[in-house]
Amino acid sequence: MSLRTFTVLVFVAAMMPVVGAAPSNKGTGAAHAANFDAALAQAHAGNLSAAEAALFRDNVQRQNTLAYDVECATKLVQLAAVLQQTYDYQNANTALQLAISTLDATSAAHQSDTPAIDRAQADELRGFVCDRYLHDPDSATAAFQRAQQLNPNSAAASDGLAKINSDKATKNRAIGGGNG
Amino acid sequence: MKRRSRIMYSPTRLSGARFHCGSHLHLLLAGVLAFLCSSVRAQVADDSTGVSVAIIAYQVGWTGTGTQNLSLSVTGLQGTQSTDLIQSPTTTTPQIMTRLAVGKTYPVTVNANGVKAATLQAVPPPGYVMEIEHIAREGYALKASQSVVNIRVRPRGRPVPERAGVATALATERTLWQVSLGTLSNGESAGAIAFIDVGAGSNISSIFSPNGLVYDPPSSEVQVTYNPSTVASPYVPGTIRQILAPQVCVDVYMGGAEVRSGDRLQTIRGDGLHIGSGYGVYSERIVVFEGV
Repeated sequence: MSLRTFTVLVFVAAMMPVVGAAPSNKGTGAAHAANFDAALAQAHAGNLSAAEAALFRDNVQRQNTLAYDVECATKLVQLAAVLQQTYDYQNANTALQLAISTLDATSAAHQSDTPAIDRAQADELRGFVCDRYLHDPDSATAAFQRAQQLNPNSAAASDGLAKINSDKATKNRAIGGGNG
Repeated sequence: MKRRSRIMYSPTRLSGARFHCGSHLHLLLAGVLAFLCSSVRAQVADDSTGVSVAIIAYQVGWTGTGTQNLSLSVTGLQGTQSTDLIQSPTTTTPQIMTRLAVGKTYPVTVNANGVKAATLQAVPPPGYVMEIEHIAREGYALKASQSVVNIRVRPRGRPVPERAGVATALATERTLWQVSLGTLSNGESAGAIAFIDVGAGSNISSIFSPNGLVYDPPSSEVQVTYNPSTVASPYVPGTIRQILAPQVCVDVYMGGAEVRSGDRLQTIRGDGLHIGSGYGVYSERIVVFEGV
């Protein structure tokens, strides 16, 4: 074998893993942005199923786990936030309801195979959604309290409960004051 | 039902000249007329293309167990921009450069796994102030399981007139119109309720509806009530229903003509945006939302 042939073979061998590998852009910003924009367009058109398909395309968690469902719900909340920002409140509300139902289903389904400290994440996110986006402090309080039962050191739950109590106190003060 | 609005506008007193906003031409004419008769000059930033904002997360601390990664994403005027997913032991994300409309709140989405601490930084150009979660600052300690962080760019100095009820002129920039909610008890501005174009609608008239009203409370002294997710039409879930500020009460009312009294509100009603003095004792309707 000549030196030239050997060099060519070495080059081809070095390229093999690159050429042979399936193209994977999961985790890149460009892929996520493209998927999110596609999901946004579908959601604006009222097709939330197609939006979900685009949105979950670059999920990093393993399927059929609580972590995967929390990732899905998180992305739905993010989609709803952007829909609200573009004044599409109806589809935002639908996306939020989907997120809530995903969280409720996953909490029930993974009671036996997921540690309590991880299951608390679903309730933390539920509390956040109920408080910030659904403007339902009672449901948010219940979710944060469940999260605290599952994980007594949950900073998200204690912060969330403190915020809700503070909001209630401020509102009572505002309505009770004034110059009327 | 699709609605559009009629703004009853006077720069020095609520209710006055009436403009019918339904097209670009009408809006432009209304803007010119309002500008000519205004004794209070519109303090609207030249934000027709938004301003450029740099966003990054740094000082990322990892839990050391399970899946560990982080990325940021924001949907600005030019679509969504995301950072690549970073993984432990990297502690800084790539930078996002995006263009945002002035005065409008944008959600920065945080996709994080196994992150115990990180600092989000958002930096506007000179002459502008960045607000993160309603407070003027450029750095923010990300909280556990917080997947959305709200940011907003506003001009330096007082963004709106000081006197409650004073509106800016209609404009053709992204901030189309705004009315001051007066001051807080410490003398700072209580902000403004506004119509801001984020380039999402098919035409500009779609913004002039209850869905298009934008307000971010700058203090806990201001209470904003939103329509709940179960609210019946014509109200829309998630939109602003009422604002209680120290000097004014704002009511977005869509329930038809009504005379109501009690619970510190005593007003003659009709569909539209109402602003009253104090905590809502007699309000005046300054925007009418019309079905089209």
